[in-house]
Amino acid sequence: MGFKESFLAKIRLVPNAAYMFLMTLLIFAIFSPSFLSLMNFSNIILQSSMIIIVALGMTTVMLSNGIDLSVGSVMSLTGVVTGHLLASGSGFVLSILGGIGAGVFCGAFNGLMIAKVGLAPFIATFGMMGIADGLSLFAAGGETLYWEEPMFDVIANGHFLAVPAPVWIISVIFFIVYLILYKTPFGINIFALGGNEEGLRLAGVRIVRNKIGIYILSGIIASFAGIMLASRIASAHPTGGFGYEFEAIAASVIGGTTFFGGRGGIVGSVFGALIITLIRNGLSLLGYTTPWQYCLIGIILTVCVTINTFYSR
Amino acid sequence: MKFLIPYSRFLILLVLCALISFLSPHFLQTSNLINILRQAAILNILGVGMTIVIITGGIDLSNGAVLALSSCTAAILLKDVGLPMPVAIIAALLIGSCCGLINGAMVSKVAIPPFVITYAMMFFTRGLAFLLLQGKIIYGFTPEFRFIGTGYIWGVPMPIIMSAVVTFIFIFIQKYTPFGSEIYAVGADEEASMLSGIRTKSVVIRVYILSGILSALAGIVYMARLNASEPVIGEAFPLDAIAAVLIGGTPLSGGEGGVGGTVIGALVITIIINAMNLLGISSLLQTFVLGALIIIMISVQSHSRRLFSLPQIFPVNRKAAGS
Amino acid sequence: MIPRYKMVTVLVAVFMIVGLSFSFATDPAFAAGKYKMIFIVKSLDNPFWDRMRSGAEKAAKDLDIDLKTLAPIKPYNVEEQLRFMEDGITQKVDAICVVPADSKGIVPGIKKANKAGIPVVTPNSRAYGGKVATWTGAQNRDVGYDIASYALKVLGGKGNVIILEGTPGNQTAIDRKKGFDDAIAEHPGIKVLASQTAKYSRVEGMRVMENLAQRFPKIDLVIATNDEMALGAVEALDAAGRLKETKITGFDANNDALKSISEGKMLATGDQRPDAQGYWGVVAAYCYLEGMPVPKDLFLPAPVIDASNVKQHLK
Repeated sequence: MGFKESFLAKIRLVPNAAYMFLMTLLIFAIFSPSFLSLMNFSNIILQSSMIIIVALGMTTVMLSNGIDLSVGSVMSLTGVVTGHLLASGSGFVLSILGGIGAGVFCGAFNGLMIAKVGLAPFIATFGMMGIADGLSLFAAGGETLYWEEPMFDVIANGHFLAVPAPVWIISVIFFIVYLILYKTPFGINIFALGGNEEGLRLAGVRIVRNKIGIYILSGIIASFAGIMLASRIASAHPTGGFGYEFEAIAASVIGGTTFFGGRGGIVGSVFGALIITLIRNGLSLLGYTTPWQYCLIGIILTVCVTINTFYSR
Repeated sequence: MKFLIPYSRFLILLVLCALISFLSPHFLQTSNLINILRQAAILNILGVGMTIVIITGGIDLSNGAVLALSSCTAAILLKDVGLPMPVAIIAALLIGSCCGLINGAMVSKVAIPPFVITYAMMFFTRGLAFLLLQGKIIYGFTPEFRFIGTGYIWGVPMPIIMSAVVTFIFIFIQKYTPFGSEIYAVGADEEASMLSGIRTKSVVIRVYILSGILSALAGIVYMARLNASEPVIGEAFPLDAIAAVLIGGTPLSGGEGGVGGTVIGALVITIIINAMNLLGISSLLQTFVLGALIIIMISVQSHSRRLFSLPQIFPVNRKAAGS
Repeated sequence: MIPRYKMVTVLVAVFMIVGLSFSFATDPAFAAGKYKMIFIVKSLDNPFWDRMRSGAEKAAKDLDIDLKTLAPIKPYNVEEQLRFMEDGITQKVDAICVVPADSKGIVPGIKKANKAGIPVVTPNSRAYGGKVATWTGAQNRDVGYDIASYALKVLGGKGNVIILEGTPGNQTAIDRKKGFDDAIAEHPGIKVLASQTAKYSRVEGMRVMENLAQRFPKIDLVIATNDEMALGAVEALDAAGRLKETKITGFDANNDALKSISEGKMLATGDQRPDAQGYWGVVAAYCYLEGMPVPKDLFLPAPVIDASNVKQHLK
């Protein structure tokens, strides 16, 4: 292909979500005076950091024709575990590792139930949602945890080379997920599980191992989001992650990933997450009260998905 | 023992009850059992709507929000505008069916995934409910209205009667009407159903409309029972209703299962929560217990099914119309 | 298939029209008042916050302040409150009033406001950090103690008690319950049968009460950390015909509770006077901006309301 053709082909690969993102940006920029400021964009990135991270994990799971409803509760549990460790003076590194450990544990459990016991992903992760939630409440004794650890605050509030820390963290996570999905055999298996599980089984691939791996990955990513949340609000709330699973699914779907696995991508999901945050932020700056935001999010979500549906035929 | 397997879900329920009554003497008291049935009634009504939607391979996340919106509308019509009871109830049911219509149309005509459109609808209707009530709670309805939630007929509480009537109507629909078989057919294989002459789009739309109407009905019973209406109610309902349907043996992939199973699912969930209150289990652990039990119950069910591959407790009507 | 560029153009046009109608249909972001302020409460689902909001808006009207009240979509979600604060800072408001859903979790937001030179007032709940101009309110623990002591005295210091807790993890609920516990500790003749959460909700209160009534045939007193749960308990016991033998107390003095007290169904509630907290919070912010000295703490007395004084509180 000539240069022009390959360039056009690449343009066509840009997810619809990117265009919708630009459009939303434009609308708010025109109608809201304070929208186009460095401070606001900085805020938007901070405000979207958790959704973007969780959406990356959710998209990976959805690509394999699965779903992970437990990510919100895993976020809460991670926050609580990390919070306990920080409060007891275990230090920055150990506490984060502990938190990630919680994510691994929950993910492994999910994977085992789905791959070995054969439960549908919806049911298994739905049950895990309750289990992780209860564990989180219990471990926190029903109270919010606090700690003193300046290095931990840096995660959400720090800067490196004048760029906010969350941007770096999100970029690293994105890069890692990208590598896993597109440059490893595991990644190929993920897509294949979404498209044709039977074929994969017949080809001799160890399905059980791969599936467990996918959910462990989802758990780890969810725990990253949980750590980010805990850093942002400088505390660990036992139900802080509530609702993130649905936002992650919405972000993925806006980004073009469907429930039938195999299509869509993480780039779209990042835009999807940004669109959701953008809408909240923009409506807030325009002075809309919360009930209006509810209604408009519903409408805009519908519009975005309709566009996606029309353009994937 | 094998002959017991078709009734596996029912057996699980009995085992559960036996276990709990062993742990707490209060469980088997008549008043407690009636409490359980009454508390399960609303979940059951919502669950029936959710069941038919799931059988067609869809899902309805908006039922809690539709419940809130329709009950808020009815509340305002009853108290602020002063309309008579039947008008308010019909208005609520109309709102439920409109929301259902939108859901169904988007799913069937525009081919938006049900998860997404009902999620968006959830936001939209919740926002409308807030806008309608402006943060107030509407409290205090007439005794005639409250009868729907707190009255008794022949000694049986009204919510139980309404839930039973709804259940029987829908069991009838699913077993003995063409519409019923069409629902299963569409869920099992939409392509094939279309080719055999079923108007699949119409079936899907009707199913969502029914779910919307049932959500509105549940909303009426809810506000009659609580004697109040506010925009925030029903947040937990979509997931609870889905859990009830899944425990009841209707798989998310659609095409099989039934309303009868959902009744058991709703009972199981309510009984577990009741037991946790009776046994004084720490509030902090309640979601844990619920989550764990759901997993255990569904695992047991799917394993027993796989081991013996036998039909559900209420036989499934799988005839594709016209074949 | 419509070519993409046409679809995009149509969409842009639609969005523009919708966007334009936005600005005409609702209030502009901030009208012209002497000062611009935002007032952030904890949630939308309790009339308590509605009363605080009306108090705040009254102050705004009296003082010619342009006030916008905001509440998180997820109740008691401090992360959303942080977002509101950040957005407020972006819009360069003159002052921020926020009821922290989490006393420490809100601190990053307060620090940002401090850095931007925007004064922060925290009505009702304290913030443990950052520079706060003032706090207005009553102590939840103390009012809880007062209500419980009053109820226990009515019981004569002996009896069976059930506590209905609030949402797990909620600081207000924890403080109020501590007040209850302290009062109960002073009365050895009191037996706590159960302490369960009803998640601050009326329907949960009803359900939990129904289940507990099964287990305990004799309940003398139900103390709830908020009115909504108490009202649910009233409905449950009323339906079971056991309302006469059980006293019920709540907290928040919302309208339905006051009605219930005047009908003899509820025993008492505590009035934190959220409208006053809101009102004085805004006034304090105004004073600060005008350069007047403002006390660090503004204590507002919170009376216990029972049948004897309920008439004067009913609206």
